Amino acid sequence: MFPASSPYQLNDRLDAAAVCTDPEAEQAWAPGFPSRVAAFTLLFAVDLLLVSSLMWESHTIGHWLWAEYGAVASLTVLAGLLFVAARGTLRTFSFEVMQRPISYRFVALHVIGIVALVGLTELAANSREMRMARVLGGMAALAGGGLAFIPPRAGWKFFRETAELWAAASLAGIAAVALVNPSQSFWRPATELTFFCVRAVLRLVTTDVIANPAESTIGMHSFSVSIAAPCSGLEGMGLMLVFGIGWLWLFRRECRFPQALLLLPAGLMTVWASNVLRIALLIVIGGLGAPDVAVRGFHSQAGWIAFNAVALGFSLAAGRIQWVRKTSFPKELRETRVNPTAAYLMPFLAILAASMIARSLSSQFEWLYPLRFIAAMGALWYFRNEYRTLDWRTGVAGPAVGILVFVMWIGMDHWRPTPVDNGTAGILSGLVPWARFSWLGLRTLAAVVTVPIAEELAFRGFLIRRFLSAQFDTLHPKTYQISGVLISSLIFGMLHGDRWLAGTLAGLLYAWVFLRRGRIGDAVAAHATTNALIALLVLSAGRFDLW
Amino acid sequence: MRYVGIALVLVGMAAVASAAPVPEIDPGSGVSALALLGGALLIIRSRRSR
Repeated sequence: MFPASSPYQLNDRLDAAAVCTDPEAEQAWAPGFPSRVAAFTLLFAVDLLLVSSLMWESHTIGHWLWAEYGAVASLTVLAGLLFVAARGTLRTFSFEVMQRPISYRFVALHVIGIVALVGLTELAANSREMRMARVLGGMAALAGGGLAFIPPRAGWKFFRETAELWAAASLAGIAAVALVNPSQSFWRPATELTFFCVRAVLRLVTTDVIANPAESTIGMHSFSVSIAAPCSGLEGMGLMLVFGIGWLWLFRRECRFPQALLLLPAGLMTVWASNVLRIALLIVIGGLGAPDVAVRGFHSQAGWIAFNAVALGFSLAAGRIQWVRKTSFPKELRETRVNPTAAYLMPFLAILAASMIARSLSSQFEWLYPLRFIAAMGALWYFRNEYRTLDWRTGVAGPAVGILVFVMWIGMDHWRPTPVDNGTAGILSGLVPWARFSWLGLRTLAAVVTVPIAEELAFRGFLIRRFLSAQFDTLHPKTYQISGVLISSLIFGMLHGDRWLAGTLAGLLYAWVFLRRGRIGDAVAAHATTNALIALLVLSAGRFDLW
Repeated sequence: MRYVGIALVLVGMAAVASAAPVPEIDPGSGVSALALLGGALLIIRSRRSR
C-alpha cells in the first residue's frame, strides 16, 4: 500500500507509470484507473458510432433515448458517488489495476463480439435464433471490453466494496428514465411564461408586435415565430444546473458555503433570461429583413453562445467574488502570476468563438468567415513572445505526413454519401471579383496558416501533455501518454463533424510526427500541407463540400 | 481525478444535449461549443505563481 496522500499525488504516480518518452522502451501498457476509464470510453464511443451508423435506422434511435438518459444519469451519479463517498477505495482500486497490464485477449473478444453483432445484422435474418446470436455477440463485446481494462478479481472486489453506490446509481438511472416524460409537463407553463416575457421585451424595442397566446405565435408583421414547448428554456436550465453543481463540488474547497449555493439560482435565472432574449433577438433580426439569418444562423448558434457566456460567468463569479470565495490573492501576487495555457489555447478558442459569431450572423453562406482568420491572427500576435521558445523547425517528415493525411482524407471521403452542393460555388460566382477574391483568399489563408498553427498548438502542443500534468510546460514536448494521444485525437476528430473518423486518424498522424522529435513545427507543417492540398482541390475542381 | 470528473460532466452534458433534439441548444454545434467552454475554463483555472 501507499501512504496517505492527495488523489492528485496518486494520479501523478499512476500517470508516471504510463508515461512514455521513448517508444522503444515502452513495455506492456499498464495504466492507472483514469487512463483505463479514458481508453474504455474511447473504445465504447467508437463502437457506438460504428454500430449506430450500421444498424440503427433513424426511427429506432428514438426508442433508445430512454436508455441513453438512464445510462447517462447512472454513470454520472456513480462517478459522483465514487468521488464523494469511496475515494479511499477508489485509490486502492487504481493502485491494484495498475499492477495488471491491459488484456489484449479480452480486447480480441470485444472485437469478435462487435464483428458478430454487426455481421449478423448485415445478414438481415430476423429469426429468433439470429436475434439471440446478436444479443450474445453484444454481451461478449461488452464483457470483453470491460475485462480488458479492469482485471476481473480486482473489479469484483471493488464492486463488492462499493455495491451500495452501484445500487444508488442504478436507482438514479431508473428515476431518470421514469422522469423523462413527466418532466415534459413542465414545458407548457414554462413556455407560456417565456411567451409573455418575450412579448414584454419586444414591446420595449418596437411597437410592431403581433402576439397570439392561443397559438404561441409571436413576432413582427413581416416575421413571426411559434414558441414551441422545447423552446421553453428548461433544457438550458438543466445543463446549467448540471454544470453549476459540478463546478461547486469540484472546487468546493475554494468556495464559501452556503453563500456559493446562491450562484445556482442566479445561474439558472440568467440562462432562462438569456433564452427569452435569444427569441426576442431572433424575431428582431427576422423582422429587420434577414429571416434566413434568423432561422438558419442565429437560431442554432445563440443557445450555445448564451450557455457558454453564463457558464463562464458562473465560474468567474465563483472564483472572483470574495463573498463566495474562501481565499483571495493579493493584487501584487496576482500580477506575478502566469498562464502558459492561454498562449497554447487562445488562438484555437478565438477561431471557435469567431466561428460561432460568424455562423450566428450568416444564413447558408458564411460571409463572415474571414473573422476566424482575423481573430486567430490577433491571438497569435498577442502571444508572439511566448512562441519564441517553441521549436518551429521542420523536416521532410512534416509535409510527407501532410500528404499522407490528404490522401487518406480524400480516400475516406469516397465512403461518404455523394456530396451535395452546399451552394458556395453559386454564391461566390454571383459576387463582384474583388469580393470573391478577398473571401477565397482569406478562407485559404485561414486553412493553410492560422488553423494549422492554432489547432496544433492546442491539440498536440498543449492537450497531449496536459493529460499528464497541470504544469504541462515543464514537461519535454516528447513526453506523452497513449490515452492522452488517443483522447486528444478523438476530440480533434469530433470537431470535424461527420468526418470524425478521418479527423481522428489525422490527429493521430499529426501527433506521431509531433512526438517523433517534439517539434511543433513538424505538426504544423503536416497540417498546413494537408489543408493546402485540400484548398488546391477545392479551388481547382470546385469541391466546396470539402470546406 | 478532478479533471476526470470535469470530463465526465462535459461528456454527460454533450450526451444529454445531443439526445434531446430541441432547437434551444443545437446538437450540431455541441462539440465546438463545449470545446470552447472547456478551453476557456482551462485557461481560467491555469493561472499560477511564477
